[in-house]
Amino acid sequence: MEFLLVTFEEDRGVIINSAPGAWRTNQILMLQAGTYTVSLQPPPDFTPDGIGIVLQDTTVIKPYEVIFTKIPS
Amino acid sequence: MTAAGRFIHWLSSIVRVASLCLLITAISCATATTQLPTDRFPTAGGDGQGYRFEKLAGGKEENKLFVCLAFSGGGTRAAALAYGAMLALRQTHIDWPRQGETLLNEVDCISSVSGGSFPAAYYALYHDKIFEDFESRFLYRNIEGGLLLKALSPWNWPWLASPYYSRIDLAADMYDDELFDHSSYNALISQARRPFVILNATNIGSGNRFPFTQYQFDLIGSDLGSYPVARAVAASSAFPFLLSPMTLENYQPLQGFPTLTEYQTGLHDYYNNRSRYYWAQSQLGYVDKPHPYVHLMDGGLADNIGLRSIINAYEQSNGFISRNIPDIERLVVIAVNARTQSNDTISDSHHTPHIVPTVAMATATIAMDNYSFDTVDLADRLASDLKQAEAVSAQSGGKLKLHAPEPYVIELSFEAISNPRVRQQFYGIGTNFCLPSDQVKALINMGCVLLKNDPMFRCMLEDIEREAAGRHDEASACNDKKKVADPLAARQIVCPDPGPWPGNS
Repeated sequence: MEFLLVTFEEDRGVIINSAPGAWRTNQILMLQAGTYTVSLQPPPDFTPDGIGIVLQDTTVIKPYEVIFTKIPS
Repeated sequence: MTAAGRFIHWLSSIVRVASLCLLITAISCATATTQLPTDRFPTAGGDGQGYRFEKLAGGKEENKLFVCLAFSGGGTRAAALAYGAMLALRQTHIDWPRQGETLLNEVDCISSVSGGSFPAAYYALYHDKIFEDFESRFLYRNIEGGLLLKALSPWNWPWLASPYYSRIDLAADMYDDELFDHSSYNALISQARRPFVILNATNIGSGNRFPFTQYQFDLIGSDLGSYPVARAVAASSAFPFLLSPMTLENYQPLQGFPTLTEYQTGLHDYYNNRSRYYWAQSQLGYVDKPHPYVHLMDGGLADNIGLRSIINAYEQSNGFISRNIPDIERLVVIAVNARTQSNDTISDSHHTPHIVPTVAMATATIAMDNYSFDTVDLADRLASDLKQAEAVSAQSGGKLKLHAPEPYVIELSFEAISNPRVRQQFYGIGTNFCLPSDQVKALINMGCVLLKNDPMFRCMLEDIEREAAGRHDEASACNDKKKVADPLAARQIVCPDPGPWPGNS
């Protein structure tokens, strides 16, 4: 089991491999090791649009962190 | 030509036309899938119409306690053991997360193979009616005798002579007529209620598990909705040598068919996660290098416990368990494992074993049994990972925001029978579809007793009772391995009469 932290300034739904689920930003998610694309649920007010990652050798205290930034309106 | 000659000529013409009609009908039976209509293509995320978990009722509240059952293969013995466990679940009364429910009503998914697919499919279609007539309609019936009778009936010979109709079609038609009342998956879709049932077969071309769900049928461009449930059950229980494979059409390639990102990204994972890589490769094989047909046999060839479909739904990012993990507080997996443990008689003789049936039977079953141990171990390891992650998170004092459900993996097997003589008697019960009534009765009772007495089941119920009483902060009762929990819900389960078998002899 691997650990991923998706950081964003708001609480927002996370989309893994184009599949929306109950995952949220700023919480550690658990996934099996492997390659993923990570994005956020609408509105599309964040950058980048999506991030490709390889999840491997993580721990709960050292999760893989991806950061999305809010685009100023 | 005499009048008698003209009559014989007329009669033989009638027979020829009738045979042709039968053959045409038989051909249409062999291609009993329907091409997926283009307006029902799945989305890039895998959502879409059809028999999918997401289409069944239930939301955040129902997900808090997420219960999945796995029913193993093993003929009537597996079906009876699973049915006995369901009887116990039906009597297990809980007040969390919903008041006054039974644990059976909280079941969210059932994954099954072979003999286990009969109670799984029957419960999905008929719910509590299973407790009224499943015993008489299936468990106490001589299914094999019924099939043999049909095969020997002269009016079935023209069908069986056709290259497009075989023993598996005969079995499927019998199950359709006599057990599943001609229900298709559309009946399950229109009910829109849990549990989501996954009947597993094995694709003998690729060697991979083939679950009867719309997610899988997407990959062969086909609509599961119109497919008879009986045919899925027949494919799931098509034991090698006894029954022939079930054939489906693969309609790929379809114009505009989306390929799931989960599989595309998985193809990069040979060095990171080989099981994910091979799974992605096998699934994309239906789309990228499509063969026109898929031939299916007993699901036990790929996973005789039925657990792999549940593990996949938990591990894959597009899996229906994985996608709901943040809402799940307790994840309960109950595997009813009716595995056999026959004595090794092969090694008693210096003679080379005969190809048929000794070597053929060993070839079909050794891999099944070995892989089964690995599957249960894998489920235990995943549960252990969850517990560890949760423990580390708890120690961080809220710095690590991780939500890990409390996992409970429960395996019911005859290994838990304490009396060695009785245990051996149960291990020795045949895996065919015709058992003596007293053995069926004993198996139903044992399924109930094994669940009622299982230490993990009992501590899980104690956790639920604590939660219902508002004692949220207490550590799980399952952490204390030395203490056997004694929850009220388990005490209230009354298992059916075991009958006289196995007796004292």
